[in-house]
Amino acid sequence: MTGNPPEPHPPSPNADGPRQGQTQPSATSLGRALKIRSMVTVAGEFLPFVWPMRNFIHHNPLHGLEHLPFEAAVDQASALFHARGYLRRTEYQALLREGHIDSAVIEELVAEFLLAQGPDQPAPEHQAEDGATLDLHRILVTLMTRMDQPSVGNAFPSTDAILAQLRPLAEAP
Amino acid sequence: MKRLAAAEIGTRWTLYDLIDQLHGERIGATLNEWLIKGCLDFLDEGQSAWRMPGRRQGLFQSWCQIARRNRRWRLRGLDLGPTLERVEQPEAAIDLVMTRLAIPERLWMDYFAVELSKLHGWAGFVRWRAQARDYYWQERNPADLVDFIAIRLILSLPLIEEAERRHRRDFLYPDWVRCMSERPHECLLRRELHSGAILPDYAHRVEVALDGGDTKGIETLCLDYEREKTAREAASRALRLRELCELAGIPRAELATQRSGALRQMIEAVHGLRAREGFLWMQALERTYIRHLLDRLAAPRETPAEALARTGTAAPGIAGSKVQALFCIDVRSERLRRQLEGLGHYETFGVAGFFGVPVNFIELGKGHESARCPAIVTPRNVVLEMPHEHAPHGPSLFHLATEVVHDLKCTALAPYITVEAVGLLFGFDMVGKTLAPTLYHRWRKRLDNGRPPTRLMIDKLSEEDARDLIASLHDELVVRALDRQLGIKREAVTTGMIQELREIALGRAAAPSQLARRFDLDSATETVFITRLRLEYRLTPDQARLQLEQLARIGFRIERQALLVRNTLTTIGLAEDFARTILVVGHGSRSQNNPYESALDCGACGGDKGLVNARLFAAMANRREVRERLAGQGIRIPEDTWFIPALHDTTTDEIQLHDLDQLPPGRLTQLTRIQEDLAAAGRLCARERCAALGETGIDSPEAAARRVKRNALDWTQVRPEWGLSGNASFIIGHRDLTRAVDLAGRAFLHSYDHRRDASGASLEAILSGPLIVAQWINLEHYFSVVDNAVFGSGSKVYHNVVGRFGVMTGNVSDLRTGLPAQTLRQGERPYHQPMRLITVIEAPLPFVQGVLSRVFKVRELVENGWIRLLVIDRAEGAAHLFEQGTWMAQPWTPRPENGRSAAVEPARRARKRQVPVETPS
Repeated sequence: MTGNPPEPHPPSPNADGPRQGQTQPSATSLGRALKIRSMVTVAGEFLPFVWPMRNFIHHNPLHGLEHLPFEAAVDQASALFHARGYLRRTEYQALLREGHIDSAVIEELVAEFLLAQGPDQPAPEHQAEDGATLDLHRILVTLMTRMDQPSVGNAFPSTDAILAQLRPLAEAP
Repeated sequence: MKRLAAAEIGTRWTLYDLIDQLHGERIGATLNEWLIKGCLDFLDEGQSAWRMPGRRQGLFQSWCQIARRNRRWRLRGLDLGPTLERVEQPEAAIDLVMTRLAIPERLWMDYFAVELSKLHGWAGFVRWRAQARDYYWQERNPADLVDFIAIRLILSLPLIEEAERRHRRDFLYPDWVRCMSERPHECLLRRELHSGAILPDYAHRVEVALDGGDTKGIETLCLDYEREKTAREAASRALRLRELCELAGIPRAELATQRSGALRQMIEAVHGLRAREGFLWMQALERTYIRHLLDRLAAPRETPAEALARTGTAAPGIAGSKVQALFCIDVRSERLRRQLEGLGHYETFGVAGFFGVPVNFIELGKGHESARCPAIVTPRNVVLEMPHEHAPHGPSLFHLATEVVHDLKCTALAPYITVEAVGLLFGFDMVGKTLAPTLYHRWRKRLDNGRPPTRLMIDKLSEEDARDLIASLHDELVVRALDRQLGIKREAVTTGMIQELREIALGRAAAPSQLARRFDLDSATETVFITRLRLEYRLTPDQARLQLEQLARIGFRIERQALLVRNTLTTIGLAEDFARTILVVGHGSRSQNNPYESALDCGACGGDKGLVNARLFAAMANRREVRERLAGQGIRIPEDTWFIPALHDTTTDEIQLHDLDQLPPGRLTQLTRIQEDLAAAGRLCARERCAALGETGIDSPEAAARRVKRNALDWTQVRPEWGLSGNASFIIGHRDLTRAVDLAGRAFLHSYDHRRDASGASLEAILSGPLIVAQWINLEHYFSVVDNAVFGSGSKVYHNVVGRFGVMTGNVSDLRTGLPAQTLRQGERPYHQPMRLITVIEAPLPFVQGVLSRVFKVRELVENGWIRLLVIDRAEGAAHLFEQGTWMAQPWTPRPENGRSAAVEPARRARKRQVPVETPS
């Protein structure tokens, strides 16, 4: 971007602000230096060791987060390192096709997931019968096993916004 | 839409991250590049021809010196000089920059963590180095994370200030906080614009509005933009949901009849699943594996007696019929063990590949110690490799050996001690290189052309022997100094003269010496010579004392040898019924042009080949004195039982026996058959391996063996073997549980018999040692495969070895950690299936819970779900899995222990719901 007009906050060093004392020699007392050193040490605890590769040592890249449950640690590491914590869905689906994952197990896990969502969720076997509710179990199993695109991506525009898009089709009140 | 939050400044984003994101700069990338170059120069371990000066002062100081003169930065208008003038210590630099950026001190720690995560490979190496005791390069050129962060912050400051000038804005912490609270709409639009996420039809309008700087106009546009983007995203989500419902058998018409509540529930369930989907898939993979494993462990199989009958081998117990073999727990041993046992008269055991002997090893011709044990163990003892025979070398490096031998004739391994080998221990690695280069090169060449047979010095020296040895070493140094400094040859001086010079140098005698009188040296020349002995040849009392301490670390006392052997044998449940021949099989890999070769070696031996530990264990177990002590503790190893070390080449599945020269002659004839059996089992493994590697045109085990051998020698081969890829489980139990089960080279197998471990001490040792190492291996593979770019090291094709300690992708990149793509992926698909280590312990559940309560680390790993723990009790016919904080009974019926006739349980049974049996341990 070029040709910016003057900004609402022109760069005028504040006499009382942080730029003060630029010409003073910096002196850090021993106590202060130790404090900074310990802050850096603690801040670095999440970092996995990297050994010289002459002797490659296998290690857990998330070793510094082992005090957390696996799932929480993966979430935290994903944010910290901007990394994935699991394979892509299509890669798992390939494992499913090859028999490394049993489709009955997926059904079980989705049922357990729905159960954990809360007691107000209707039991899977009762959902579709009266036509009033949707068979969430079937929908989620289908999502996992047959959809190759994420049905809900990273951007989640809110339930109401999506509902508003689905509503025009729905005739029921 | 999600707006930038002020709380994320300093905790998720650095100040320059915000400048990059909202103003389209590339400060982060520039910083990374400059810091990497600084690290490359400083951390180099002898790869670059031109070394960075002043490295001994440490990373920060030496970098500052270079930075003051960096013309490239000055040309760019960046002058670090004024900042550098004001700080002498890295802590002061951090203080200065963080204060200048006005970041509140409560956020510093988070800010440092975000800074460190930018180049986690380099930072991880510096962090490792800073805590590595005795790491030569760290001792020589010290560096730590404080240096690392200080440099990064110092570099970031002028870049931020440069951006401030260019954009005519303040970019300090308070400015950003104000910006986000007062002008959130501008922030949002800026981020959309510069991240490329902006709706294309809005891009121009947004750019014009931002340039115009009209706050009200920006706000109006932003609200419009947010509405539009939300609507479009919602439309695409709704479209996907309709597709999904149709796939699930709910036609659009039916969806249209749903009430809002039902639709809302569906939308939220789908969204809720998104956050947990990866975890569910991983659980699905694990649960499927666990069920198949339990089925296979329960299925009827051939018993050892039936196997012997089938192969026509004599029944066990008849002398000479059985061979026992100790293998590493490594997943690659599983195939070989299975194939070897399939041949008939082999009984195999699994134990961590250092065979319980942690040691610092000094290889012949190498001047440093390398730890041969798991990374979590710190060895106390040192073992030297000694040449077997002393080939003549003119006025040889070894000519003093005879004197040493004479002095130490009482020591068991004395004939193999040489001054050179011991000299290595004291850092006289370069005895040859500095004092006799030509001879040294000839010696090296001989080593390289074909290693002379060696023995390991495993026994402790007595103090008297040690003193004699040091005196001999010093005399040898005096002889060399005389030759080199004064041109006086050995034949011209007497032993008495040499010893007198040594004593003078050590301050125990006074000049003038006999030598000075004999050769008419003036006192100045003599003083210079003695000073040189002290300074260059390190003949001082302090050094002598240090050398004595070093020598005290060599070898193991007999009691300790007996203890180590006993621990290993009892841990694996081998305390009686010893075969006449027991192989101790370490493993190593062989490949060419492969910086990751060490990753294919034995993890329990510090990422090195396992032969040294196998040789040590066998040598100890063969000692009469050791066996006498073991017999006193109830472990009676028959006199005619012989332990033979071997190396399993995991790339070719060839097994080479070692130290055969130490066997009684009668034994050699029996070995031929064992070697043939090992070769046959290796060929069968090669056939399995070729199938896994996707090799085609393999029609016989022989062809497979030829193919894998070619892979090992082909220097263009990016995947000589799959290594530990595919690892999934760790089974701690009696071999009866797994014998004849094809575990496809995916299981670590540790032999263990809980009936011989009443106190649980052996299980505790297995959990806190081998299991932890296996868990590291497992999770290294897990994360390297799920995100090869971040946790793995990407494709080998683009790798460049840097500084002799790591690899980068291309010319400049973060130091690559983890495993390369070729180790884990087959083409576009993952070969390694990422799941947490399924750990099976064969023992009663209360017993395991008791042991677990004593091993905090493992309990934490189990309770936090880093390890999946499955406890099998064959006597009770029960299996329990720890899941979600509870032990869940698993449906499992084992085969009857007495043969297969009664075992008619089908492989697959109807599943019942898992039943929690008790609350968390």
